[in-house]
Amino acid sequence: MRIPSQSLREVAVRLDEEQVAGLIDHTELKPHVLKKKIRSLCDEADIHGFATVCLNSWWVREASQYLKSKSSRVGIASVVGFPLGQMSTESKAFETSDAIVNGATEIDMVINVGTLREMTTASGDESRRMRELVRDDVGAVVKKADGAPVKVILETGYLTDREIVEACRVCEEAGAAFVKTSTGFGPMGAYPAHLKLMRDTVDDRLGVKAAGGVTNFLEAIRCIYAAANSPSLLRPDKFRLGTSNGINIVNSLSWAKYDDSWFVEEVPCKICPSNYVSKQPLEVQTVYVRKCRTCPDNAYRKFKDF
Amino acid sequence: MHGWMGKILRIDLNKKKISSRPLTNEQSELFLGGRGLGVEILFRELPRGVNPLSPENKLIFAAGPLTGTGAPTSGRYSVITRSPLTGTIFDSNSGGHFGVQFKRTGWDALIIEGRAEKPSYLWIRDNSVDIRSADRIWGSNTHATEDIVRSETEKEAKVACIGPAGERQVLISSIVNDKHRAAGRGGVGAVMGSKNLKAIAVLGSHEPSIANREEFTAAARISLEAISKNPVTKDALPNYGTAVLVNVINEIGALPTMNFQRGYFEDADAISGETIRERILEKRVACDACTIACGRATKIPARDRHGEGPEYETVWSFGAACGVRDLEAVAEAHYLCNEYGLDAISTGSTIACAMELSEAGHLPGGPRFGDAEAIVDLVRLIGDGAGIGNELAEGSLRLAERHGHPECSMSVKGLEMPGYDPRGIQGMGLAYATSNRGACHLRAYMTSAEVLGNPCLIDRFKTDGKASLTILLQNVSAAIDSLVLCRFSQFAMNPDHYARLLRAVTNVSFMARDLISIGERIYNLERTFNAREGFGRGEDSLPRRLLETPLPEGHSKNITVALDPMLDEYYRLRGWTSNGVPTASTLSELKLYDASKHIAEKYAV
Repeated sequence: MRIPSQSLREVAVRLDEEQVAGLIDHTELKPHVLKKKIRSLCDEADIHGFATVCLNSWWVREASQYLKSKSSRVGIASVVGFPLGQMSTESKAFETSDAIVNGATEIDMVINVGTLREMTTASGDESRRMRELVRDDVGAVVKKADGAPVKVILETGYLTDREIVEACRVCEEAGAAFVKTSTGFGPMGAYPAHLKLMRDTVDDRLGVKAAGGVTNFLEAIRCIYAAANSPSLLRPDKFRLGTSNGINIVNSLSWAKYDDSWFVEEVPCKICPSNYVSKQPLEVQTVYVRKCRTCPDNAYRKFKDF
Repeated sequence: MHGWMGKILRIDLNKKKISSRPLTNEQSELFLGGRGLGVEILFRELPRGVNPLSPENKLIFAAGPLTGTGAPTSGRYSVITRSPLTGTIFDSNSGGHFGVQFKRTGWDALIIEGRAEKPSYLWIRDNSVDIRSADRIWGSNTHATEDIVRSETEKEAKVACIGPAGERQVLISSIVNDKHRAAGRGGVGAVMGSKNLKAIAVLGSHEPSIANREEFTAAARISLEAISKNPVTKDALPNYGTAVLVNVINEIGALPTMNFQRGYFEDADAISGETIRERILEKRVACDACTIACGRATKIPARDRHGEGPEYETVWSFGAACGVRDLEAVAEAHYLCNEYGLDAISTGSTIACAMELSEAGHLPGGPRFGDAEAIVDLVRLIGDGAGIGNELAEGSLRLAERHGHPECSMSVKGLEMPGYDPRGIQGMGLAYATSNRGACHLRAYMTSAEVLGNPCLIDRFKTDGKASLTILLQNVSAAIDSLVLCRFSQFAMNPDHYARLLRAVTNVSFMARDLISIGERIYNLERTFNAREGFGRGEDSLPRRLLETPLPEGHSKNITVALDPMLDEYYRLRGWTSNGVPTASTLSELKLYDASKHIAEKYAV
């Protein structure tokens, strides 16, 4: 995917630090995190005006109480079925209820990736049955979220384009509020090509969340270009950035004000998921590699270091 | 006046005359302090054509408006003079604790003129200034000098001094403070030596005034948070020191090896930050007001030695550049550079040049690549002024010229290049070429964006946009050098952070764009100084090897630096002539009216 430098400049010129901060889910999902870190995450989100703190469900009660004590407007996004999505629907539903009771204001659930892929590879009744399983899995979480927005993590690095499209449609049917690229624990993070595909697939009432590997303002702007390239989409209910580098992104954004030359067009392969296939299942990798071979920008691959 | 101390001290060593005058509002608001203030003074006071090692040259020590305020990384000071190595205007800055103590004496800057009749040192305690005999310490290394000066003054005094190299006016000698920190580059130590000035000891009791304490605390907290969140300043530098870059730069094929003949060093890991941590690290060390703490206190048990370092530039210059994989020898060479008062980049790089000359048969009996003990011995010879050391003491360009092969000197304007091969980092090539003080990575650290992804990752092989970004970083860097803050803060902090700190301290309404304009003003004034001395496009170049010979292997192979197109665009964007000289109108727009007048008169003739 090519993103002309002029397009990035046009996106950048519309942004300010406060607005970008309001799109960020300030994320901490490591297993070894301590209470002190959760509190400082909440403090940072409050100071910078991030949309939410995004946490494992264990920490929701702590964060909720702490943010309330500060009279903070920062929301709490709890992950559910994280990071593999292979839990039973009932357990995802329970984790959702529990998180909501403890103060979660949003839910980021992981789709059942394996069943989703079977849905697209099977045919006839089997495919329909699998589709129902995936839809019900998401639907159960939506129901228990009790009106809180549910973002569904597709883990796009495991999916072909066709599977991403199908996943978006199922999520839409099941009442999800957002489709989201990645957990940050899978084979790849957020790439503009995936984000654009997701944005083009779902209805405008749904949001798209970019998550995984977004560390600085240029990457953030590429994501915004791909998934929120209009004022009506550049809102917290239509676009989010999930990142543990929110402060860096906001801080680095300041540099964009002082020179346009950061926005030189990137070598397309560098922002293409087909260039980062090493951790994918072989059958998915094969699809990506085939796509790469027929890509009009394939000539870049001959020069490995770009 | 908040932030600034409001006065400048002048010492004429010829007449032993001590005087002071106020810092003007024009100086503080148009040039800030540190590098900017020194450049302003030097441009105005130093006539064209002054021999850098003559009594007529001036040596300026300057603090900045943030020095000593406790702002993150604000423990630095600048030294400004005309360099005997490059002939250009030159500033070199240093961390540790000397800068803060200097500011506390109540002076923003110290201008040293003339030449003392006998070896002397200065003892500045607040308003009291004493010129003392240095007979007892002349000839001592920097560590002994500091100990003796403190024993003769106050135990708490902070000392900046030269070693035997500076005394002998070695062109690559440095000024060392706090024993292990150096204003290293450009031969500033030789200028101090030429004035018969061995040391400056300072101890002060004046705290800089902060205009808005509450706002300053908030601004400092936000800046510290940025530092604590940036991967480079929160993890890489604290855990592994600056040498964390060795493996990173080597992996991209841009670690200059064997005097820039290659860009990949097979034994890089043996001298990396990771290996330093594993084998010789004793503890981390921080400068005043710094939470990054990139300094390394280290030991070499086999040699029964302790010290600080080596830093990235040293492990590169004595290691990869010389083909040496022996970390202990590299560390020993680094310790010796601090003790003799030598610039570790230029010293290592000059030895690497000698090795290439020797292997090519141009320097019979010279050192060979990979000889670990040779680097240690040669540092001693340079420091002691013995044997071949006397030739190497003049830097690589003069050495290579003497032996008929100037192309073997990896230098720009006579200053040895640091450890980033611009064939793999194109923007660094432009930054080296256009640096006003010769090959310097810190005028515009393009590696930050081109390799480390700070503030964002840009393509290191492309030339598009590099002129504009180089200019932005040169301007911001000049402003930071004038505050005076550590350049590592720039990995995490942005221009708005710096402006907010400065506003809180001074109560002057500096915005980020004002800081960038101040940086631009400083850069243009430096450039005009150099133009007055005859520098132009011909000097804004790179060693022929980098322009014509691709690297043979690694992830930057088959590429040379595409300098000319970048340089044309750079001059155009700067508002300079195609010869790299600022136009009168550009200088006027920057409120550099004297410089503008000078340029107008010179080119009218």
